[in-house]
Amino acid sequence: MDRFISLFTIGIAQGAIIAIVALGFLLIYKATGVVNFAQGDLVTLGAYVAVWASTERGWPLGVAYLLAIVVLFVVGIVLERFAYAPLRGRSIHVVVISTLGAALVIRAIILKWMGPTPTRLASPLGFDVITVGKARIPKQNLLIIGLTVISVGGTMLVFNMTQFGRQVRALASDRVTAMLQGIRATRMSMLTFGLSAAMSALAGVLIAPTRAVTVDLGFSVMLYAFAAAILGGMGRLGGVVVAAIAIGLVRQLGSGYINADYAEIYPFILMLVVLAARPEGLFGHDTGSRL
Amino acid sequence: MRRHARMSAAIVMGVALLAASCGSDDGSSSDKATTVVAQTTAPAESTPASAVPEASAADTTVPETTGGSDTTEAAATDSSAAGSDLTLTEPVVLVALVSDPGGTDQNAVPDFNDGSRLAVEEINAAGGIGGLPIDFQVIETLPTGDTVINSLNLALEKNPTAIIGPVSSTALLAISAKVDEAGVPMIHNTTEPKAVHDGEAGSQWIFSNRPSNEGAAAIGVKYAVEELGASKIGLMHTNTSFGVSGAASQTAAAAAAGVSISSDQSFEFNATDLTNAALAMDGSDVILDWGTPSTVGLAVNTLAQQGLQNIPHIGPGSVGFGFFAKIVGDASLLNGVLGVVDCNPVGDDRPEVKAFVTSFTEKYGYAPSYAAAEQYDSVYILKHVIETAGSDDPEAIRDGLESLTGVSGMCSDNYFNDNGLLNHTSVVAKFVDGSLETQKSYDVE
Amino acid sequence: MTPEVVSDPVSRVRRPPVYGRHQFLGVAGFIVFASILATVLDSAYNYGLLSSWLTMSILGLGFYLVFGLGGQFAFSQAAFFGLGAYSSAWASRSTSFGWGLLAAIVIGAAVALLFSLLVFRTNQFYFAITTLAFSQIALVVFREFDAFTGSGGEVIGIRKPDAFGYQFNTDVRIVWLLIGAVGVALFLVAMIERSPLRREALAVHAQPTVAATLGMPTGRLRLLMFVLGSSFAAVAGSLQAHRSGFISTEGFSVALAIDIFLILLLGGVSSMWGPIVGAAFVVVAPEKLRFIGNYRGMVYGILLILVIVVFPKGLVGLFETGWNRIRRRQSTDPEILGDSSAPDPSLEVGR
Repeated sequence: MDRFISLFTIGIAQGAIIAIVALGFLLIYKATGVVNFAQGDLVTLGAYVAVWASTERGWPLGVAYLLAIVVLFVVGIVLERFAYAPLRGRSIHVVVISTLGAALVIRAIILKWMGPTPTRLASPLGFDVITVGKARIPKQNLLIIGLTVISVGGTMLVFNMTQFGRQVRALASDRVTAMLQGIRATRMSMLTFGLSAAMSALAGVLIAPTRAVTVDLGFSVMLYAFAAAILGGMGRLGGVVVAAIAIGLVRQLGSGYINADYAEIYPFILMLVVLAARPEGLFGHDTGSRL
Repeated sequence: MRRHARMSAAIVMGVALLAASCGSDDGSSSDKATTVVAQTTAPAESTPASAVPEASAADTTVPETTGGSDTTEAAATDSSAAGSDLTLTEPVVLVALVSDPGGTDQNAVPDFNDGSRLAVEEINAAGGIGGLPIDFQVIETLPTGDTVINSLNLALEKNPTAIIGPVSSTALLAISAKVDEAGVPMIHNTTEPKAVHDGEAGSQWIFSNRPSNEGAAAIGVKYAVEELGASKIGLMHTNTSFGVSGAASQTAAAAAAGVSISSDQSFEFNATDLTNAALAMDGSDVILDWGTPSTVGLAVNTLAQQGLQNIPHIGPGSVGFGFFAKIVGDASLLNGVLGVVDCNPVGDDRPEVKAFVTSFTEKYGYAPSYAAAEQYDSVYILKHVIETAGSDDPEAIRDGLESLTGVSGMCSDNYFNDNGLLNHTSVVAKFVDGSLETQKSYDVE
Repeated sequence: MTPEVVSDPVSRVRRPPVYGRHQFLGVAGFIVFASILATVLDSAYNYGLLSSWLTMSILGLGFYLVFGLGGQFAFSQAAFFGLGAYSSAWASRSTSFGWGLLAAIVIGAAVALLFSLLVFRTNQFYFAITTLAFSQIALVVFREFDAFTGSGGEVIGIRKPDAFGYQFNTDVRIVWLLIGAVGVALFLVAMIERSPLRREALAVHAQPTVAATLGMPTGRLRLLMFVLGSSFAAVAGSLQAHRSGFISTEGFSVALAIDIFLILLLGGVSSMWGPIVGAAFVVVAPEKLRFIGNYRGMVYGILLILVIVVFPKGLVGLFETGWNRIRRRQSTDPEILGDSSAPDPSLEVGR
């Protein structure tokens, strides 16, 4: 039972990270239609900015975390200007290849800057744990869950309640009409890229203290985020969050109770099974729609 | 017109990006170098390291020994150098296959390259081999199939006298057949068991300067039983051939020593959470952890979080790399971690090793790991073999390596060939105040 | 576009390419070109590059069928490459190269068919991500399924290819074998290009609803293209395994899937020659960028963005434009409509 509590909490925390990345990815997808393959490398970059600030500059962790989020917001806008804006109106495949190219560039910059050997980002809570029964749960996991609840809740609130959210939804449902109504698509796309990258940075600094930081850090998270987005049916933010948590749990419990050698693939097997039965995902109703 | 504007914008962007990344590099890499110094030579900081190198070397080892020799050339092979009167008409060409630091290969630590480079520079400063300086070339490679074959082909185009081989076992397996075909002697830095002389991918041209993985893994058990008095051993390992063969050897050694395996936990080589494996270690007297530096570092953290940091935790050789301390992150957790490393240059009392550590640290800004020492030794072994044979013929070098006995170097004081393995030492070392201290030395079968 | 081309939409339609002979001429031209390269470039390093190029070309051609014609975005090409390699290594252990190749084709096609049926009803992005999941699962299976793939997914000592008693046991002989293999692959693709299959596949790809109302078997066509393309990848895998004699899972990761994608997009998604040109870029560019050391990845990424910005139809588009310009001088015929699949309006972004 203690083991179950430990694994369960970690599963939720890992799912929470996946949820943040998936929401960031969906934000861009809804506002612009772009599937951003650089999302994972933005996560990695966020983590490395914080590593640099805290270990090489010796700045306090809070500052390092904030810096990562701010820097990545700017990087997101730069990404939009260079890898997406010049290609507006081109086929989606061209844009996808461009985000892939951007991913390669980001990755190469990280390698050149920080080197290929693994490193580490400290947690503001250190290695502290709280005990539930006999189970010892790292406080970092609770921090992850807490911040995820705040940021995901905030995103949903913004998405459903504000002018910005309405505009994004309008762009997602009918881009041309939305623009005819005076929605500034350019400004919106810059803003969504920036916000999405900032969310990636948040995911990056939250997940980095739980493992060795390498240049591959964000890639596997991105794959799970894709899976979560699809399982959740692309459209519904709530559905995507539920799917992300499910993925985190399946991975953790599968590795704990079935066989750790296959930990990586339990979520993908789940996804294939669900899609074989429900091609539109768990909560989707109309495949391919961006609503 | 718009199209042109767009194109030129794209080009300007590309150039700007490139310029920006080049620019950022200079500053940050020097920052990084200083951090590395601070981390790997942490104990030397109390004394002015660069001013009194001998003292700093002594500081990290046993204090009462006074720093011995003055030059590193007293090293390795001079004791047995038979043919210093050898004269060659063509310089010895040495090609090193190193991991591409621009790739994601975590083997791309500078130790490998710097170790062999230091040896070459010393030899060349002292007149080279056969009166000519060594022509030393470095080719970067990734462990994936075609890239490593292309790199080997490039290396072979240089007409190498010998190749300082790859440091990744996958890369080694990918090229072993071609090396055999090409007939170029190669000394590599992996423990791949299939590439020993009578192994499936073995070749009489291929030699390793590392001890066997199985042998080193078994030493972990020996140390746990004899020195730590363990009766229940917990095993953690990755599901790669390195981890699986290491754990198999440990299970056999434990059975032979009459102790039990309390738990055997396997996980993916890129595992990101080891809570389950760590929990299973509860109740073990000693943990033997045959993982990657990343997973061992993660295991150290996870064991601490699960309240199990008092169980002695023994890792493989890769804990001897400077970046391992970085992965663990917390100095208090690092202390007490043990590793079965091929050798521990910073903890070696021999005067020539102290001199080597000093000149290496001065030159590259970090203390040499076992790998740096082994790569350094490889070059001197080749020099020794060429001078003894009086020829730099590939066959002569191969036969010289084949019959190599009793050569002393920085990592091992007794290199000899057995089935393609040249190095037969391992030490169990322990992190004390952030640096490795040798606990006990072993001969590896 | 020059003004005279746009004048009358009807005049854009030339003889459908089905009636032309240019594909077969092209295949012959390719074989001659590759043979010249194999003769002129005589060093192990160059043979290695040529072999990589030819192997990647087969992979790219397979992806052309899946994506260029079938319109299905798939990351599974790398996994089928690996499946072909492991199947072939496994089946040829105690038999011969021929059996290995056959096993690769049969196992590759069977798994592709099963997978395709399993996720038959998903489309577009959903399908793409299921193929991504498939490749991740395949990688772990390769690593863990020791009886089939050897310990840790590392297989050594795979026999060199042979045919009818002839051993392809040197680098240059293998290059000739691969030229033959790419020739056959191109020939098959040319047959498809000349058959109604291409037209129908493009119609299904561009206007699925219209195609379905016209009674086209949309699902079956997509499935056929996926299975065919995946079999191509399996064949490439078999050739790779027997060429290099060693395989490990590192060679079949998502990084390769992305490379294959780049091959087609860079080369040109709307022409069967796209993958050939794209493969040359993806193989040669990183090797030739060795001299810039650590900046290689960065420059490669930037180069990629530049190429895609400057040549939206891929490198082949560049040749086509030049070729059409020459032809236009001879006749007044504008460019061939059938050669470039009409861009799918629903796939455009930021209209």
